[in-house]
Amino acid sequence: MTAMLERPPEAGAAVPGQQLPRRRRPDARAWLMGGALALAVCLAAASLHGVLEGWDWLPSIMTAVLAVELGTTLGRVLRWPGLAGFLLGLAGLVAATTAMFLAPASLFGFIPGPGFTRALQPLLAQAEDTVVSQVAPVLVNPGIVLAACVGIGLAALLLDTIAVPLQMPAAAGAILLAVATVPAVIKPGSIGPWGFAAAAAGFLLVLGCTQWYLAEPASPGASGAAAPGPGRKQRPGPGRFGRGAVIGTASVLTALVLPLAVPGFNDGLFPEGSRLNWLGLPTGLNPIVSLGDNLRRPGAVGRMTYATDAGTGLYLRSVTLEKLSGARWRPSDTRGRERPVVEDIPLPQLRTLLAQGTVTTTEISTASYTSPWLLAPYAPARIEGLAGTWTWDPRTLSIRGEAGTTTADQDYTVTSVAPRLTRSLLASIEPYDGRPEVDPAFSELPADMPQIIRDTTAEVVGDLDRPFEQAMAIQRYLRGPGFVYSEQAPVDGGYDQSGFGVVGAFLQAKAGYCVHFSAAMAIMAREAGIPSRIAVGYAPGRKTGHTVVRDGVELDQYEVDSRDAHAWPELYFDNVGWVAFEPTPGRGVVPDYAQASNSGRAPGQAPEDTLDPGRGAPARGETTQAVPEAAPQARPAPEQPVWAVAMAAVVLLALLSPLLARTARLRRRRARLLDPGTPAQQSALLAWREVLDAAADYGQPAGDAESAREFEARLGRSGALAGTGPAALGRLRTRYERAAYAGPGAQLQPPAAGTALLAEVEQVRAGLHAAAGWRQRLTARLLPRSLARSRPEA
Amino acid sequence: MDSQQHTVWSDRPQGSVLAGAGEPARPGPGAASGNDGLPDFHETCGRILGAINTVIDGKADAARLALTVLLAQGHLLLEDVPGVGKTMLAKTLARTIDCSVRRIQFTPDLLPSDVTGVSIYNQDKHTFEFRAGPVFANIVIGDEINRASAKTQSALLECMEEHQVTVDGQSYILADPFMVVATQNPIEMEGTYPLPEAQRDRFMARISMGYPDARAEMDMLETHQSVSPLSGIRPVAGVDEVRAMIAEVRGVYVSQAVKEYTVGIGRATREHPHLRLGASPRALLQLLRAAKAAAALDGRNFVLPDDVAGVADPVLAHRLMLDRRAVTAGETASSVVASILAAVPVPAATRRLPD
Repeated sequence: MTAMLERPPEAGAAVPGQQLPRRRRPDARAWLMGGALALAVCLAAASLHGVLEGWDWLPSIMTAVLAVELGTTLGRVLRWPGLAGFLLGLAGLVAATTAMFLAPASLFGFIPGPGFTRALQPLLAQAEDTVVSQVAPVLVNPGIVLAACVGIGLAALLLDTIAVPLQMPAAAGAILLAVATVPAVIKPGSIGPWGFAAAAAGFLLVLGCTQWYLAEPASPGASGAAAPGPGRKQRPGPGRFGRGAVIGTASVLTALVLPLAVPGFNDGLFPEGSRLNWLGLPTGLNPIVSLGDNLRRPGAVGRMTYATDAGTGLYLRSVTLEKLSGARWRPSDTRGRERPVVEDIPLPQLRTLLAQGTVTTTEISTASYTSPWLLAPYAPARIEGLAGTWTWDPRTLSIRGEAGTTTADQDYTVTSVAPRLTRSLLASIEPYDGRPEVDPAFSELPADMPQIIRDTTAEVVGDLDRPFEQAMAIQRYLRGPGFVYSEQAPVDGGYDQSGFGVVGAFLQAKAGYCVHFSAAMAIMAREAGIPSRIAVGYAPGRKTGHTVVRDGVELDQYEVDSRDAHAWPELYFDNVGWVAFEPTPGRGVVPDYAQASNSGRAPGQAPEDTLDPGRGAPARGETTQAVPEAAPQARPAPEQPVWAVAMAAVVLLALLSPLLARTARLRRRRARLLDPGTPAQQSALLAWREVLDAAADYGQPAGDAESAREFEARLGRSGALAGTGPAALGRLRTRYERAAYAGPGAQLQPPAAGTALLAEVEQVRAGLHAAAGWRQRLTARLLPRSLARSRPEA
Repeated sequence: MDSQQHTVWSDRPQGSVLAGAGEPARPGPGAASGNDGLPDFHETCGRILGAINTVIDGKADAARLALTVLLAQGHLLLEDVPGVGKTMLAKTLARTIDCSVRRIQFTPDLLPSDVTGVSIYNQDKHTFEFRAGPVFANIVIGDEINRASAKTQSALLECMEEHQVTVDGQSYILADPFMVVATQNPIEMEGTYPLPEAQRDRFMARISMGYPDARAEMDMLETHQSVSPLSGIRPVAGVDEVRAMIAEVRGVYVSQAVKEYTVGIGRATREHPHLRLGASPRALLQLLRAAKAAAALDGRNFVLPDDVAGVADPVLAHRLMLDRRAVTAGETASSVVASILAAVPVPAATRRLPD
């Protein structure tokens, strides 16, 4: 990558190294320019790796781009008008794609021939099929590569046209951005830092090369190619390319590093986090990220309603997270497993319980809620009234929209079936024996799991052997007095993400919200040997007071909005299937079967545990539900001030660092002036340098082309020097001139003592200070400009 | 003004034409001081300039520059419209110094031998005798040099460059110091032969006199009404003194940084997009020599970048050739020089310091 960033200076370095050929032959320059453009497009296109599996497609795209640049550059070399170059580029693209994909239906292998469209159609159909049906990254096939080649080739053509004939290289960056945006939009986070850096480097390359290329007369034919005489344009200095490379590298690195420090930009470079929401609500592609934001959002958005005959509010499930071993949790890839929603969803694991199960009908209006995953009460068995294409995953019963279908503005009816669960039934279940009917993904744990999870699980589960008892113990532990519900604590504590480290941090801090509680329970359950997954969706919400009549039955209507976003664990039990638990204190409703018995085993249990789930609108929120005796000691309060103080100190130090650096420099100079061993000549130079720095601090920097006298005269005219400053400046200037320009013999005259010089410098500084306004004085102290002197140091 | 045609004008007897040759140079007035004091030098300059200023009102800068060119052993081109005192300046400078002065009024029929001199057959001695032309003087005023034919101009320019005249295979050394002050009238173009660029390069500096300001013009009307101002002038410095001063100027120290700066200016003129022709190496040599004289006039024995910048316009402007487009855009050689001076970095001596 670094090598790529170094490219612009390399390409341009040939120019200032002028002596022999005053300028490179225009043809060679045009070819270099074309090559740079092609390289830039290929670099940007490399980020397609996020949506196209493997790298096999890259040579084809490179061929297409090179063909385009070959055409346009040829037009330039032959000095044809701009349009001809464009058409040549287009011809190059057509020829390249024809040769690569449609050679049988062509003349001479690259000219579209008879039967061309007939040969093209299946490829286009294949591309369309890939786009519509596959989830990125898609498997590479000729159709999709053809589409990519044509698209990227056209982008290259546009880039070339905008950058060179239209001479707007900076605007051409939009084309590179467009290329890089394709994978970013299709699969968030798929670009990654390398993809971004490659695209940025390509853009810088285009900028640098066009600067160099366009700096020469646009039409070499007009002025005559033989103009090596003195009438040349001013060339950029040789240092400019090095400087450009440094600035470019620095800005790319900053763009890469900054997102790590900015909260909210914690997932990839085009995050779906809360900070970019003004472009629209998050589509929920990563439910965990949007969930925390939804909870913290002060107002409610995405209001939706449902009416149900269950007699109580329902958990609406959107998606499950089961692959917990990655760095970030996200819904697992369902590619290859999904089946279209056409008819009933068969529920094999519930078949036996269906007879005794509860059948619930729920009408849901999603209004503005937008997500690819459909909300449904568990376990959906039949869905009616949906628009668009939907598929469902037999493993998790998540229902997902395909080909751009989302939940926005859907009105549908879900018939769901749930087994009638009782404590006694669950308590009788034998430990899970790893039977193959449950995907191993639900039991997987990463090797590098934090030790605290193991320890806590061992401590909580103890010697209980029945899975249900274990699950209850975990739930009881999490709802116990040690834990506090807080939406803000994870943000403050820096563990507001998803992943294993977060669960470890949560178990330590004992404060978090539903994501942390449910994740902790799911992982601890796996540790105890129970398959688990995290369900993401909505808590039951509130009754609106309205009723909806359906088939003669009155259904209570509930409303849910972003504040009800929720996550809860589902644990797998033999013969029963997936059973939901509620470890989050103060949110949602604890199911009947999972409520603590009154045996008094958990004396510290929160009162809401005994809430009857049938009571409707459960109270929620930290303030109303805080466990009285648990709250005070639970927060990691004592650590925060320390951190805050440390942070404040660091910030303060950073703010004061210019002042400190300047003061240190002044001290060094003072010491050297007062040192009798310093030669008189050096003292005079040093004093003058300090004067220049002081003047720069007070907003009067000496220009490069300004001599000492001109500087003194300007300072005198501008009135930026008060009191005895001008006289002192004059004396210092005379000494400086003698020290800098007089011959060796002239140094004989009695040199001024270091103290006298220092006194004069102080007089100048005082004069500058007296004449400056308060703002300048402040800047001179806190942000001394002399630290960033533009004068090149040899 | 005298209206002789191709005649030699002189206000001194012919006898001192070759004055100066072979005379031992007196020790320089400031040679003993060793530092940048140059007290005698400074004092003499002050006297000369003061005398000039009594004659020409409001033209102190032009007078100073003329003296600078004299001390730098260069030649001066005065270019301006008639009547602003070009010839007056030349004459005054010549008279304030006790040296030989000749004036040549250039006309289209002036011949080279009218400038350099001619060998005449002496019938008594049966030998050819060289009759020195007007160019054998310390200060030669060439009036309206653009009216002479190219051939005659060349003869003068050759003398200027080589400081000697060769007639019939015999070389005659010109006086020392030797300075040509030529005037040129840019308005009158018909029947004239303006100096080509290559020949303008021989002149160290070109001055445009410009009109005096209102106050100076009032004074002039007041004082110069009845008597010729020139008549009141008495020489204030001898030839030997001037020679010593010239030697002093030669000894002015030029630091590495100033040389860098001079070269920087030269390179900038060659790379400037508005210039068809930049400064020649000879131009840089003369620029530095003029800067040395300016430094000495300022009482210093070392050159500052400011000295170089101060004489850059008169020394460089007449040698630069502007691009056609720049001319139509209203640029002048002076404005280009100003822009170059505003852009060429002054080498900072402080940067070699450890921080």
